[in-house]
Amino acid sequence: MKSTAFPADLRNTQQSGVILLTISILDMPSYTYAVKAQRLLRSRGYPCRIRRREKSSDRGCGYSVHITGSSESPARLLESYNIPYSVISGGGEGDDQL
Amino acid sequence: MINFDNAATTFPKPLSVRRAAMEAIRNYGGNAGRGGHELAMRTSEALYSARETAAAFFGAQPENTVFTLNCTYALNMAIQGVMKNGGHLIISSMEHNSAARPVFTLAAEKKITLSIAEVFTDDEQTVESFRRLIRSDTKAIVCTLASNVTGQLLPYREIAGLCRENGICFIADGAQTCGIYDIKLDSGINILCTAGHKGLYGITGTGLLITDGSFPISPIVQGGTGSDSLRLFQPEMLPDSLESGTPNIIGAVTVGAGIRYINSYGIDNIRSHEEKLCRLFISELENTGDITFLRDEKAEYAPIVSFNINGFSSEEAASMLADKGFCLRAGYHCAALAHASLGTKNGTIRFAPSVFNTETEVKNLVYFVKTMKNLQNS
Repeated sequence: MKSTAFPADLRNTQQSGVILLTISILDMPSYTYAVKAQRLLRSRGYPCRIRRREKSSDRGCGYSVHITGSSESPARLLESYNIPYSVISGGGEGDDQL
Repeated sequence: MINFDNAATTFPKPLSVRRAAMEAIRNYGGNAGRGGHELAMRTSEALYSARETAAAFFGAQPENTVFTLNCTYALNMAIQGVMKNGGHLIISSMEHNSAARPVFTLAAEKKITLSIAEVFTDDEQTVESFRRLIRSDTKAIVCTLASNVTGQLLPYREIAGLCRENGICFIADGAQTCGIYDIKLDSGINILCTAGHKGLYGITGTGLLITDGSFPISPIVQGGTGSDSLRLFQPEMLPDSLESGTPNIIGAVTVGAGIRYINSYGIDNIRSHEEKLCRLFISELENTGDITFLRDEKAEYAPIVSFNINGFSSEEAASMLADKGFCLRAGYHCAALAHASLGTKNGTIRFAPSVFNTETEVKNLVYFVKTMKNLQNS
């Protein structure tokens, strides 16, 4: 398969003919910010979804936004709209498969 | 039964609001922001959509749009939250008890110092009375956008200007104006408090606190927010910091539906319709000589008409009208300061139409008011 079939910043890895899409996880301070981020990202063509914060955190319960691909440009977009977040996983190789 | 008590809460509600309530009961039975399963997530999404709708309506950010139980809670949260560390506060002489009582309590407990700006029918005089009271330690001005007794509109843009010039927080009570006038935060309001169940046509048990974020609001209630649960202190981030406990999700959904109804009907059309009914009511009765209207030609009024019928106390008159099936609020309208300022010792009767009232209903009311004084031939 050709990698050009995916958005430019969507890194993919071919392993035994299976495409592994990397995902980035942005931890959000509240559900409200998670939806705000999700709507903004989707409106700019970044596939993403809101998930419950899965990994244990010092802070406890919360929500994260899972983005298909690297977190780099989505994160810049969120910053430009003053949407706070913290990167849990930046979308490097070996991240969870979406 | 014909309801002219819409300044207390609007009734009936639009069909779309009733449907939204049913849909919310049927589909949004999870707890918003408190779980990752399907039911919780779709409920959370519904709450956010309502928040986003309200935010856009008032020119605010969704995260700065806080759902409350009613306008009273929003005002208490704003006043106590901004004045937590003391300071001087100014309110108008037309405030509802929802603003007056918390500030008088804070002042009685010597937590704040308080001044009351007299409201005149002349806007310049009103603005001047606020200006004269501003001190170096003035932290906030709390002012209604329209009196809930007479409907008199206050010059809030000018008062907002005073606040801006002096670095003062402007807390506005929009209970009688939101949904009728296009109120936006860019008018200079820092914190807008309003009811969701009046002009916004949501169900009772709903209110909004909308902030531009420029003045921090300390929460007066702490508790579960669904976020940062391992921390023993309240999150600082809005809206969570001001929304402890399970929110009124069904109510919030109806507020969103109510705002969409207003947008679709047109806020100018709603105001125009209600103003027309008020003009009709006044014009039909003003020449009888036995009706006193609390209106002055120098002032502007929201679609509320306060009046008295000579020879009857306000409660007597409202009771007689109620017997004929007309719902009007009499007495003091939870506004001790306003009635003291107006000198209405026996209270007033308040005529407050909504978008659903008709000219025929107003004419029927007029007929019975005239009957009460045998004025039907006048």
